[in-house]
Amino acid sequence: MTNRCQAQYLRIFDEATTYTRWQSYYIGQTVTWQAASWSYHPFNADGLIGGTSGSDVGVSIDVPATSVAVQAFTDALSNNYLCQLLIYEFNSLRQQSGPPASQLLIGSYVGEVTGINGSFSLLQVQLGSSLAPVGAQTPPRKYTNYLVGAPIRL
Amino acid sequence: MNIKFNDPLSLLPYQTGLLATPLTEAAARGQTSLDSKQKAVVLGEPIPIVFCRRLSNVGGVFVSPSATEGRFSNNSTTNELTVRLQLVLSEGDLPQLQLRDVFQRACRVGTWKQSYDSRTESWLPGNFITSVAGKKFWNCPYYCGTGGTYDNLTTLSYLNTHADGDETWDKQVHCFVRQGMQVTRILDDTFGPSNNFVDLALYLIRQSSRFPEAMLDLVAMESAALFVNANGFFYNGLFDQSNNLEDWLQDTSRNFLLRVSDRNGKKAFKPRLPVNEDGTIKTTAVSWVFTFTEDHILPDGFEIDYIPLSERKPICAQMLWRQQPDDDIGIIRVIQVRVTGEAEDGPFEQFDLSQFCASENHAVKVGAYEVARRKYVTHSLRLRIKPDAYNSTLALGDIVRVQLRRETEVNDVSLHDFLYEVERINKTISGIVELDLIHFPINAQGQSILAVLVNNASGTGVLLPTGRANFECDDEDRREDPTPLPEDPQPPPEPPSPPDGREDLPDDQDPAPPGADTPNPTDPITPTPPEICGATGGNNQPIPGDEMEVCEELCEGMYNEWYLCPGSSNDINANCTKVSQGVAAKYINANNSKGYRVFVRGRCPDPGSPDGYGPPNDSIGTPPIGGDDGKDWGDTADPPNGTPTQFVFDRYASHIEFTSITGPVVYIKRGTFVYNNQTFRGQIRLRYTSTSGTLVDIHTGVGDYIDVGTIGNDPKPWACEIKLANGQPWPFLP
Repeated sequence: MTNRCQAQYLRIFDEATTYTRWQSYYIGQTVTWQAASWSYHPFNADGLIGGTSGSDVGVSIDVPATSVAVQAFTDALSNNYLCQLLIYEFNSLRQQSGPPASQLLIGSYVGEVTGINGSFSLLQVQLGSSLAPVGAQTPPRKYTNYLVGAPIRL
Repeated sequence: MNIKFNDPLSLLPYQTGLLATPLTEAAARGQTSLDSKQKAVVLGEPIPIVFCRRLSNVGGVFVSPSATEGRFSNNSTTNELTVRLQLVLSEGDLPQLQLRDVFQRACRVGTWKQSYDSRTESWLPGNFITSVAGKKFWNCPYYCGTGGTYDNLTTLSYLNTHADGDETWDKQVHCFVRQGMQVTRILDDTFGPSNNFVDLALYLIRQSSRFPEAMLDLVAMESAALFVNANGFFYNGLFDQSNNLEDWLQDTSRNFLLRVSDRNGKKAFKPRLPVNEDGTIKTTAVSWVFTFTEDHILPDGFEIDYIPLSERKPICAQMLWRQQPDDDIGIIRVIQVRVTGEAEDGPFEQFDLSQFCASENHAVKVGAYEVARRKYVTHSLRLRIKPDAYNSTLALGDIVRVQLRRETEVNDVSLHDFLYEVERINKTISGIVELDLIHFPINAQGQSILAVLVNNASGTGVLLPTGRANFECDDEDRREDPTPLPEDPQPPPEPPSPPDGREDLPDDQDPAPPGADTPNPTDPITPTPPEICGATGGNNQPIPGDEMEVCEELCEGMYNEWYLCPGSSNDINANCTKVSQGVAAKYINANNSKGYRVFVRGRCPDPGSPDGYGPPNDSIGTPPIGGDDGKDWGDTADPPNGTPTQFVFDRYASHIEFTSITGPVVYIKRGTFVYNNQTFRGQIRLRYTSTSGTLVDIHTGVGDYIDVGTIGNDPKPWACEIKLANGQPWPFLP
């Protein structure tokens, strides 16, 4: 007998610090997984986790616009924090009290918060890459007075 | 509710770069004009990146550096011109050029030095030309440059002399760069020149500062680097045109048979062909990781899109590349690639790889891919499948088999049975997985047809002569002289102030919410509620007998409906009684209206409405109608201690002194009022607090009053005030 379930975990972090660890499956609970505590916060995530660059690869997260969520994601957007989404699959008939050790990682996505929109009560957070689809970016350096002064005019 | 859109399946081959017909065709971009005028740097233009590594006589790039400074002087007797130029060769640190590889026009002439991260040589820029009698005047530039820091740039100093009348003094100088900008190569983790496209891409991605390192899939990047290295797809080019990085990665990676992919949010390159562990193209039978059948696909979960005819017609791919001999300036080459017997007379599609491709085999293999995919890759699929074992195993780039039975009549069963490459994976919260797949054609031996064709394609190996037989303009023995250019770095000039022409905004602004609120402007369209005037009591309290009217009619001919509502009511619709109505109607408070609140509902004329008036506009209620209600206003706070000295009935300009009252509290309660010549009876109640704390009212009964005389027919309210011992007025209500 199988009851296939997905549990989603979300982490907001940068190189030095993890700011937020949320899970959306165990309601009202803080669970321990991978030696870290994940507090409950309702959210749904889905999207294209793999594809060719330039297509609509990215993940969208729907989250209630609580003050905590607004603060967390706007901070992530302002400070270029990374978000990691982990999707695990397991048989919920075996265990519901906490993450089972046998759960399988079926999706993983790391991205920046590239956009936030929604309503006063619901936020939709887009995770993706900030490698902008428009605008000239390479070669990265341009001639400046600092580098070459006022150049010769031939 | 969320509405999500998927890109149409028909776009998939374009988004993956499978279909990329050139939009424009032009002269080879790798061609260099030799006898042109020397270029000068223009502020704002991109600093070129020379990225190459010549190995086994393949590679290198011919560069025409721009000048930043010049010094021009002549001999006052012979008029011989001495030209010095400061040139920027590339961003980054380049190994020393060889003497045989520096030119002016097509000739190896002049004296050269090379430095990194600084200016080369110490000469001062300027125009020092003097007029020499009987000689031609050198018309050299007057704006000769000022110099800069040359931070992280490779610079050259060039010196040459020109006899009187020599018109080549301002011709372009060139360099053949065998070893380009040094980076840490991903394959051997060594700092040095590279010809690996993945190294260049990583450098650009990191330099763009727009992409966190954590979002780079370096394992996949290394596999891609191994693929291009093993198959001889090398980048030997000058990168100096401003581009969007994402576009450039997509467009250029295609010419290395790579595709840019996002896998789990991480960016990487992925070979377009199956590969062996050593990076070579896999030409053995391919295996697949999963077979999808009817058991896995959800209802309406199968979508197919065939590649259109325009992208299937056979073509002749005309590949441009650059033949680069060891001792001469390179030439552009063209090789045509087609399927045997097809497109003999076209159509031709030109693919210009001459900017970076210095290998015929590289060009031929890319051409073979372009031709073969047109012929053999026929369609793409989109499957919606239920979750299963593949949930945790299926990955981008995996080969899968789709095998579906098609039964259109009895005993007529056919199969949709093909291999596909997974191009996109879309996972949803419901568990449903959506896969975008591209046809992966195989032959009877199970080999990838594209892999076999590309792997077997090779160039002719023929090297064309450059067409140059005369090297007499070269300085003697220069053509074979591999001596590295000497270094002569110079300290940077005095830094200008501010040091690098920058303006750093202070980071001391903390966003904060707006402060005190300001009232919003009144909407001029929405009418304000009618206001009620006519109250004569204190604090604008109406009392019986007051004639209530609308202060300012909202419109001409406004129809007023007057209501009496309970004193606790704030709503004209709650237990109210209509007491008066009519155009510009007023209402006189009845004697029995004490304690009620007065509301008015105004309606403006509206010929279009059934009763001729528009929607109602309700006032807010007045305070409860006042007057003596016979009740103790016990909720009025006690006045401060003190000895009252007088009462003033200000409506009558008279007063009564109560000199005998010494208690701490004196209350003046409501007065009575009268109509129609009846005697006005002022009523005063006295209250004090006994020593036991009990409130004692000295008077509460009718008849115990003070007669203040007779007034006229006009009923008047009255009000009182008490003056305390300190002389400050303390008004009482009403």
